[in-house]
Amino acid sequence: MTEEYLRNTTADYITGVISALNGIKDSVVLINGPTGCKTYYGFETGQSVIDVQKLWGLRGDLKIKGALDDELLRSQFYMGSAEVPSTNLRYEDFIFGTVDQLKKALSDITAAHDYALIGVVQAPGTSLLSEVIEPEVKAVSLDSGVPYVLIESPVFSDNMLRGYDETIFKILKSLSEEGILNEKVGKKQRSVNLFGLGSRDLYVDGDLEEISRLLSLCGIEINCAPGAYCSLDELKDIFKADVNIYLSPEKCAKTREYMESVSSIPSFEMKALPIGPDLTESFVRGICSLLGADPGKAIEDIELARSRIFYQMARRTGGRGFTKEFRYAAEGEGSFLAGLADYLSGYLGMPPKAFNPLYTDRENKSDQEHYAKSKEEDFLWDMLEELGCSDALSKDISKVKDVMLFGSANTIAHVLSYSGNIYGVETAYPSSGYINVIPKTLLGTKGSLYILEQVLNGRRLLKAWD
Amino acid sequence: MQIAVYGKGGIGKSTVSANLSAALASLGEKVLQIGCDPKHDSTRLLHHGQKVRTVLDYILNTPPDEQRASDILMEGYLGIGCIEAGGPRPGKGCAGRGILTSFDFLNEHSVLKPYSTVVYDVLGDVVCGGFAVPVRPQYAQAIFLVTSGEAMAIYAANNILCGIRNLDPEGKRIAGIIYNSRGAGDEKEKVYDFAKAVGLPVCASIPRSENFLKAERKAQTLIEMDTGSREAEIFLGLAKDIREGLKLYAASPLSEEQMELFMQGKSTEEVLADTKAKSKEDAEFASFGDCESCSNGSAAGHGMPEKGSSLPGTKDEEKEEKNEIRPIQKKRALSDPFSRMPLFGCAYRGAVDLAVQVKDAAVLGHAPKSCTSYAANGITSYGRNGLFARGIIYPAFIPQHFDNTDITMEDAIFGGVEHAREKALALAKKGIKDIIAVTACIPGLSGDDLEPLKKELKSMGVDMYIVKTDGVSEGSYNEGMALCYKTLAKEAVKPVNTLDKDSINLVYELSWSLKTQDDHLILEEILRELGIRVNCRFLYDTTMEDINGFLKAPYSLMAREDKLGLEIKEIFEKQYGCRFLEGTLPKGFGESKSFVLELGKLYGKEEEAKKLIEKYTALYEEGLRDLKKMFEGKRVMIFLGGPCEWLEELADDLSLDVIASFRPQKDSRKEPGWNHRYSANWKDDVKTFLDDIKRLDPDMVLSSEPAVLSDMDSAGKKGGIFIGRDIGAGFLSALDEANKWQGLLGRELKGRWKNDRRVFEKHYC
Repeated sequence: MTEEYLRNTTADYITGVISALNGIKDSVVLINGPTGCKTYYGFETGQSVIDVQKLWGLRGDLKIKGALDDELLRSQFYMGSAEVPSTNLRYEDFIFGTVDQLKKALSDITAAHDYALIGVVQAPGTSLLSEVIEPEVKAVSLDSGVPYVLIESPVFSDNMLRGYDETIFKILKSLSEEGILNEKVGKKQRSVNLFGLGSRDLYVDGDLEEISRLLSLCGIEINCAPGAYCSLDELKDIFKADVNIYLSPEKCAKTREYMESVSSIPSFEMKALPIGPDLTESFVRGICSLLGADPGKAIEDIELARSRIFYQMARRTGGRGFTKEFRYAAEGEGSFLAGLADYLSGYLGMPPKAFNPLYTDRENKSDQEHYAKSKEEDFLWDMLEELGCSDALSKDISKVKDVMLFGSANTIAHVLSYSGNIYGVETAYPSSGYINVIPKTLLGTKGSLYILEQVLNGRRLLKAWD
Repeated sequence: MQIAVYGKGGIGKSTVSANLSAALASLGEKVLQIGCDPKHDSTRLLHHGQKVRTVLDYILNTPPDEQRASDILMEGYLGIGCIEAGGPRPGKGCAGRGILTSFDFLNEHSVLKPYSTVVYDVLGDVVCGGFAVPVRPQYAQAIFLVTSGEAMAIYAANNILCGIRNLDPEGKRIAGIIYNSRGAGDEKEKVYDFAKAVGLPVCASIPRSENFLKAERKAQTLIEMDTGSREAEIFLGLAKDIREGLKLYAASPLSEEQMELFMQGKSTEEVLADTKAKSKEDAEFASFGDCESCSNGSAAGHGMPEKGSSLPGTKDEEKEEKNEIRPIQKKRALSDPFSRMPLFGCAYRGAVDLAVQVKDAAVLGHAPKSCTSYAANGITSYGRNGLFARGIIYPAFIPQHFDNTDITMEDAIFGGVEHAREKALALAKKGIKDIIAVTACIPGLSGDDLEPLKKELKSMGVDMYIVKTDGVSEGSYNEGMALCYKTLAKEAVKPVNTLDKDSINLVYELSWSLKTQDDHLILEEILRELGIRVNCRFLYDTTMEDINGFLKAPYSLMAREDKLGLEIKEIFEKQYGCRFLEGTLPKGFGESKSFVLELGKLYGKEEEAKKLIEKYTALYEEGLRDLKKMFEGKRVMIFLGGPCEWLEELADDLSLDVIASFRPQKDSRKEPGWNHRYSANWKDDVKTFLDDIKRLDPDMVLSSEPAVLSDMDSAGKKGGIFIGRDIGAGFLSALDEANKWQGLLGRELKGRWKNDRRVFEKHYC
């Protein structure tokens, strides 16, 4: 079983909730709880995304419109960081109720900054009180004209992806019930909604940019990408798209169910993320076929990437491919692992050593049960069985040596603490703190080339060449 | 139609609810009764005493994908659906949370859908949010209050009205009072007077009757046992009224003062005449809801039943009306943002951050996964950053055995001790001999007690140390650290047989800084030259074995000293008679020199100490000579967030001309204790400092607060230098700091990037 430490560092339901709400541009997520509950959630997300409200404390020549009010930032609710304010509850609030603090916080927040959406999330302890707080949130929302979404229960110790999915669903449902979403008329031609990218993805901006680029080569526009810093205006027009694309199905199940129940927009789902030229091409062709669009230019783009990959592989490996000793290990959600396995093992011919699917029911299983098939991983298992690599799913990622390791910086640091011969490639939060200025991606053609670059350099650093 | 029946415990709510359900069913309604009392006996008279499976018990014991609504739904008299929400055992968990969870289950499984009428029988009083769930707008449309004429029952009824008013200040959802007679004196008059005072009708008057007792013995309602009885007729009449449409009223409870007058027997007119008391009460209610609409509602609602509305309610019209009168949105001033100083971090995380420093012990978090994921990532962030920034793996920030009980909603409701026990036993099975259990808010709120588990583990040869950072009462990160330090200082230090005379303990090192290990290496170098070794680092990258053997060292050194540091020191001194060196981990030349001299004296190594000081004196003076060429006589202003002795010494040694030294004001009421930027005085302090810069025009500005430097442009001064108040340890650390100033002094490169603000705003604002 993967070590307790590694299991503990994966995010939980409430992180998913916050990341979904944070993924609406210019939203504020207010935690109704003590400041302790606030301080972590803001640390990790959207480090490379440009977000004006994170500019604060700027004066004189640098005073930017839209930057967070300095006094508000220094207040008891923000406590110095622009992300995820809290109501700063104390012990007495847990006896006498939290409404006074909540009202004060909401009132200050909406008075001092123009937010597009207010998300109020009950902290785990506060949710135990079962207080009725919706009337207060609603009153402030009516007063300020800013729509709200209330998450009453953070569902203790549950899966982050479920938290994300259920919150995106809740956002859409709440806005729809409040009459904020526009009617399903005036469709935009060849436009798609993109579900499954989230503000807690390490390269969310680069991912979105690459998918947009590929689709625009086919004359397709992204109408709205909920949870990936879409604006409220884009959300309002969500029913105007021609197709709903569900990347990372484990992040979209509830949302998809909802969208299918309230609209007739057809769904397009990728069981594996479009990583590597083959899956990228399937993705592009699939969408174009649904929309009657011409994939020609995108296929050309993918072909150029294929050529570049061919050249590098032929030159660096002498045409023999990688040696059997050169292995990789990876962790992440099922659709990410499936995409990565298809590219690294299926396309580049690199055998895996260990896979650790995250956010599945295996996380809480006993030693014997841990490597049993989890229902969220059907596609991944099938793919690995087809590639003859399914044994990697029964290997403990926390014990690997001499591999390229795709995962969070926690896992990389942990494995490095006992094995010097690891080349880590960060693919998820929490990160090492490296600041990405150039938008990066693991998806599409750009992602294929970036991953290959890491593989080839990693191979040299691991001294795994022939 | 959904109906809630509220009233004081033991007043007969369940009997009333069951008979009402039976009467409604006999009129052809498809009825569901939901008992919201952990005793789960609300529907007994309907299902004739079947064995009850409560919703909460079912959720607790059935995997989610096997859960079916039919498993908890019993069928009673005339096909009435019977459900009992259930709850935790008395004294455990949070029953209110249980009600909420049950309702979530019922919604998820669309249990209410097939029924035309739902009757909620709710425990006693609106004692907490959970028991108020049935009053939420999506549930009960009509609420009955059951009361007798006894004082406590009427108090309870009034209290329930207060609760309803707080929860739904604008709603008209009270159907009226059901008077359940206890046969005592003038109670009927009391009930009717009360009804008049709160502006509600008495919908039914139920006489005291042996027939109820007889029916109860048969586990039946009176409707079933004797439909033609006088009592049954009353319920049938009430059921007819409900079917035909009830008139509903706003909750308009009496104030405390009015209740007092009422109980003293004053007339309704006299009670209601006490408008002063009433308006005060209204003001209190208004503060919980929407001020404007609430006060409108109360003016119209109190004692004025003619304002009642009929079912189905006219909510939408009211909403529209309300929207019309709502004032145009306008910006308001901030409330006093410093009215409640924030706490830094949380106690659970503070405790865990320290506990994981004990590398051979297992840390068992008794918390939801969110708390532990937060704590684990907080600790490892230093490790990740260290790896990235310095290419170094810091063992202090890689937890070794850190497990968590992953508290679930069921644990929060029913208690999670058994879950913690399973985890602890599994750790013991792996051969772990020491477990530090850190309990978070949730087990604190639900009352989990791990002490019996501690005893059980002791009998197996495993020591468990419980750090109770539970219930939000423990407060900040520092409080959590304090609990962990104190628990281990008091419980984990063991008697020793032998002393290691050339060893020293290091106590209270900063656990969350990469600099701690740098400082330690410097200290070790000094100690090594004196022939002294570190016995125990309490608590940084340490082991339980070292903590157990703390008393082997003849002396200890405080790495830093503040209020908590002094408390920890006191435990060691008073409980174990430990001796500490003067001062703390030395920083700067003077402190380091005194420290080495003291060590030499205490450990009988004067000669080694003398040689060491000579060596560093030569290095320090050589460094000073070079720096003086640049800094001698420079006019310096200093802004410091706290004490900084090394800077005073350095300023003297460099012959700086300190023309002003400024410290922010302290305000004991609003002092956050950890960062001046969050104090109410900050703005004034900074302004004063900037005015002084303009007035005095210094050569150099040194500040320990970077935010001050970003304001310096406005004072027409550039090139301020940030100094950390806390420099590294050892003889040469202040010199190292001054070396950094050299490169910064006099440089005023503004950077052309600032000119691109316009472009940024064009694309992103």
